[in-house]
Amino acid sequence: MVGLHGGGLSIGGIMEMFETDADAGVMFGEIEFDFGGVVRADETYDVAGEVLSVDRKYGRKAGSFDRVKFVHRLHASGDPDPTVTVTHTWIIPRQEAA
Amino acid sequence: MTKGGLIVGASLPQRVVEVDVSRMKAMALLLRDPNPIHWDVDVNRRLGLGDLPINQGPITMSYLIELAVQSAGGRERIKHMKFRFLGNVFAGQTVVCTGSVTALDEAAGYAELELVGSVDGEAVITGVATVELPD
Repeated sequence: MVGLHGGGLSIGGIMEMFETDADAGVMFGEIEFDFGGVVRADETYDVAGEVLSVDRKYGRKAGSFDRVKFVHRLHASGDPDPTVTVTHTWIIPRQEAA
Repeated sequence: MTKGGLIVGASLPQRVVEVDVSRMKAMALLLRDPNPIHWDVDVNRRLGLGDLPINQGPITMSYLIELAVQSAGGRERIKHMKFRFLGNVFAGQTVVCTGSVTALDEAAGYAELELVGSVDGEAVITGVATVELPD
């Protein structure tokens, strides 16, 4: 949640970046957390993110979809090592490509 | 047995959670999540996703995180977690959260937990967590 807010893009903003919208039925596929420390209340964190991959897939039931993987890294201010790294994979339906 | 009371092959205490639609609305506000599948059943019908609001993945995931935290003895002991979402979880359903200890390295001070959330016997989310053992 901190990563999503601090990364500068809301869920809606991320959907827009991937040229989809809230009515498309976007789902989480996987999520992974690596903790280098504990995220604490009242601390200040720097957040950076990047898209790692986008793969077009096809499923019999789901039809065409993109498997989008991106990462947020939270750093306590001044700390070069991330306090937590969150890697998300979203499933974005692409019905127009089916 | 280790200091943390974890044994390879041992089952973790089962958690049973009923999916509460009011929590979905609260989470949608917290996440600023515009995805209507969590509250607009007409959208779900149109998308072929059923007739009920769909739980947010982070809420379903939190049921397993809580199981890992309880088993590890505190959230600060969680070092790594990975979850895979296998199916939708709908409002009013009951999620049964189970887990087991799959590996233990007392020298390094870590244990690995396997976690599963199921609805009506079908896994809807699976996960693994690496937890630090107490000193």
